[in-house]
Amino acid sequence: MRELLARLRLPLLFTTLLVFTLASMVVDRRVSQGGGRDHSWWTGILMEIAVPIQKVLTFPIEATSHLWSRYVALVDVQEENDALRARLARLEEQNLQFREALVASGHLQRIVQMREGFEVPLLPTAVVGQDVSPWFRSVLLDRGGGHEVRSGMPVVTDRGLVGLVTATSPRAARAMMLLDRQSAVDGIVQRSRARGIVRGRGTGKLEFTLVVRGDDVQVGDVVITSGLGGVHPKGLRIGEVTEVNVGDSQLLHTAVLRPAVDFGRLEQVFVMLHRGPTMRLLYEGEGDLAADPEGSRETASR
Amino acid sequence: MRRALALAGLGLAVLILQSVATAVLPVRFVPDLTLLLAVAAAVSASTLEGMLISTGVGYGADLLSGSLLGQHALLRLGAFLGTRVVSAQFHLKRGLPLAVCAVGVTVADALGTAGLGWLFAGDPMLGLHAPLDLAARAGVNALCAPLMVGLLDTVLELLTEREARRRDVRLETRRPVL
Repeated sequence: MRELLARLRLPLLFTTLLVFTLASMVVDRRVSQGGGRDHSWWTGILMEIAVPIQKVLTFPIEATSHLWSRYVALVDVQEENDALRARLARLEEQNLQFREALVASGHLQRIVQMREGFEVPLLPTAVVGQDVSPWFRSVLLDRGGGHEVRSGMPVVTDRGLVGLVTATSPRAARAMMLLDRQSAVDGIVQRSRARGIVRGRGTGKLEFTLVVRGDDVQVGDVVITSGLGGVHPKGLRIGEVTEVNVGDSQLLHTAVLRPAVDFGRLEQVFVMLHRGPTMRLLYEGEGDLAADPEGSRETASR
Repeated sequence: MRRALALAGLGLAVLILQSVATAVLPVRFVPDLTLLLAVAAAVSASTLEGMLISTGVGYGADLLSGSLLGQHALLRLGAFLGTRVVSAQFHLKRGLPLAVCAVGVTVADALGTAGLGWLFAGDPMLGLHAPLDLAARAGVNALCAPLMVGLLDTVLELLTEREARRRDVRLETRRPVL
């Protein structure tokens, strides 16, 4: 009997590991589909372990890059500073003119009221780690459920949209970046209002797909979120068109976007502490959106 | 126990190195060190240790990645098994066969990722640009595979030497007196 067990030890171990890995994938998938990933204990424990490790790892890299950018690479800073000051003065003058025009027409007051209605609190969060797998593009954030961060909340910087929170633990969160192949955002061209889906390609560029062939998309156009997916608020900057591919399709064409955010240098991001209607439906099970005043207001605004 | 801790430490060090490489290098040229550790384990370690190292480091990669929990663990276990089968037929300690094997395992890993993505998320996640990325990654992995095997060999040798030194050896120098 002992001999038989010794002989079967390795096949048994292999089978156990195989079943265990498959089972954990199935469970993880089911939990994330059910929208309950905020509090899955194993994800929480693993992420809590990962955050301090990633902080230690990224510290020397960040320190070197800070040293370089703040002390070494400042050769042309005086000239750049003068040019920026001149540009700021011009922009301030223009801004003043615009403000005057808006106040005169009464638009400013209406815009202020609208902003107060849709104001979303932003939580500043540090990026403590990047995805180690080349097939996935996500980041680990150092704020989690304890700071009201929930799965499905958009993540932004001052430059534009970064992605979406996909998992949280009490003190950490994971956010899928726009570059991830699983990411898809409903976007519009700011100039022509042409609509399409912005997809990650796993590389440094984004793809603007499903654009109707007749729609006007040109190199240099800025693409922003449309808000129609019910996930991201309207008007967040996604990227700039660098290439338009007409292709053979009679109906649709695609474009390549350069992301507005520099994903290689993400240090601090902001989590928008607000879920869109679709995310609320998924994670909170709010079936009747019309009954929710916040949801109906947001939907109406779009 | 000491050996298990040392191998766990090696797995952690590989994850740390991978994390640093991801932060520094362009994503296309980041070697998949966890995959290479599974390959190295198949070449150098025992079957039991290799399976545990591969699955453990796979779970570690899942922890630091946006994948499903267990996805990398399953793929690393598969990579270990595949390389073990190949190593039974070829002498993988030599540079060229090992590099070719690393390329094959990288391609198989990509197909496995695509298959699992299709199975669990309904999307294989491999676009038109995947072959180019894959070729670059396979090349980088082929270059790094001998280094990883060398590293694991060194660690295993050190552990074996230390264990041999610590082992109690009793020499029977006298005949028992009746």
